[in-house]
Amino acid sequence: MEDYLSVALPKGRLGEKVLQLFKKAGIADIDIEKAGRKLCIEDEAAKLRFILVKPYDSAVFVERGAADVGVCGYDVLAEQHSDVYELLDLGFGKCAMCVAAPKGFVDANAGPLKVATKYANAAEEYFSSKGRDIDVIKLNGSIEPAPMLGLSDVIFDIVETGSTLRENRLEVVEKAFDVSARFIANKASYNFRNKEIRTIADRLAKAAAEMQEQN
Amino acid sequence: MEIDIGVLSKSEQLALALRTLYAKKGYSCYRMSRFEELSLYTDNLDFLVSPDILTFTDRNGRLKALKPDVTLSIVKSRADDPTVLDRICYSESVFRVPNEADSFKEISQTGVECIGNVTEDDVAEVTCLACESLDIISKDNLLVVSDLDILNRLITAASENVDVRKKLLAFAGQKNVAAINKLAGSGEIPEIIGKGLSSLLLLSGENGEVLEDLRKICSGFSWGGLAEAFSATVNKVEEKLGSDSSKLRIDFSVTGDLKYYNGIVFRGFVKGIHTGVLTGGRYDGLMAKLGKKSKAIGFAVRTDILS
Repeated sequence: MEDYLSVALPKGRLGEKVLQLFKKAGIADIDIEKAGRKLCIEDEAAKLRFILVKPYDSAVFVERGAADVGVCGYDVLAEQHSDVYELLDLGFGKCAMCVAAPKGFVDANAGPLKVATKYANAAEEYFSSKGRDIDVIKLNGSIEPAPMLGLSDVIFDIVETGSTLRENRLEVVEKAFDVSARFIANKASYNFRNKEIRTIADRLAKAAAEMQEQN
Repeated sequence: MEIDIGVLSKSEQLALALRTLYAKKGYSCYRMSRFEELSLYTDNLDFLVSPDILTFTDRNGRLKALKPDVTLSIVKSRADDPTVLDRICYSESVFRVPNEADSFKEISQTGVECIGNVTEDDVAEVTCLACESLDIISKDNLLVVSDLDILNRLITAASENVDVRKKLLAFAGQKNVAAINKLAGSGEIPEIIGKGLSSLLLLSGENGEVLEDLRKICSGFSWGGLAEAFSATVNKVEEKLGSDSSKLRIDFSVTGDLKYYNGIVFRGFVKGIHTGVLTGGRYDGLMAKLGKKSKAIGFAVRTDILS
């Protein structure tokens, strides 16, 4: 058990892309289809254990040492302020954290701006840096209908292509920050398993750069 | 009075073992009140691990706080005599929001402070004592050391903008080289400084492994001699540690607020514990801010982490 380095991977598309990257970098070769419903998959030859977690929990697993390293979106790090090393920007899973509102919306500054979001901390910080008082409406999904239903004035959420916004008659008002997948490490693990983690980071960096060139 | 150690919890046993070690080394035990005037902390907010403070109004109307930190109380209470060395140890509870939590916790700490005429030998001795403290918890440990004078010079040279400096310090703590390169790429900080900072953060290893690279990184700057000074301090610690010196690592992602901390800073890790169990370093900046001429160095071990 001890020899294995554990990797927290977000379930879904992002996790699949990360596994492709590990394969391309020659670090591990995992067939996610064969894993079925298993949430813990091992590559015995590489001595790596992949733990499939919800994207939002990946940084928690790493910060708390349940995983030595992991991958998560920058949106999660910005929200949770996880005490982890952010070793690489993998350059994929790109989107942006944006403020979006119904078309034609103008902030009259008449009172606190009602902001519907999953990212309460990031929203507070962003609007506070602009000196705008807000009333955060914390939602756990389906943020887009909030302005239409009068629940909020604007939403603060990640935007990839903008199609969901358009379908809900919203438009981007401003971009708060860029988001992409990050390779992170637990600070204690980084020190105790320094050579292994640095080797993986170096190989991932090279493979990620090649992937970006190809795209 | 005989004490049956077995009745104590693991964290109490650790605190006792540490205090015994510190007493043997000539540190006198110090006991302080649980409460302080709130202004002591609000005036030095950046020195605290977290800005959250538990407050209450005393019966005389004074605004008080449950201590979120021990060092400030000790520094405030000691006489400022830069000609002698005052060695103090303590076991205290502090009340704050730890990094990984979102609510207040009572955190037990045992630590030491050296205040007054702090020489390079004293710095090496305190750093060794930090290593010995980690040994008491587990032999499988590492003390990761950094030099804030070097980091400070690079960050100060990067930008005059306080927000950019704050960002850079945060990126250093995260080893976020990509973000530093992005700032350099956008012209927000000079490219040469960005390169220096990135190279510094990629250093990680024993003194012998990183020294040459550290020299190279610092060599182009007027303050390049700081690399030698830091290396000399680390050599001194290594000599004192002898065969245990492989437990000492250099990594510039160990940071602290640059207004308060300077020179060597460190963080101790023990295998099996997900976070640092020991933090410390020199804090001459805090002394100066409080109007004191004395120099200071110290560290604290989180004893509650074992429970």
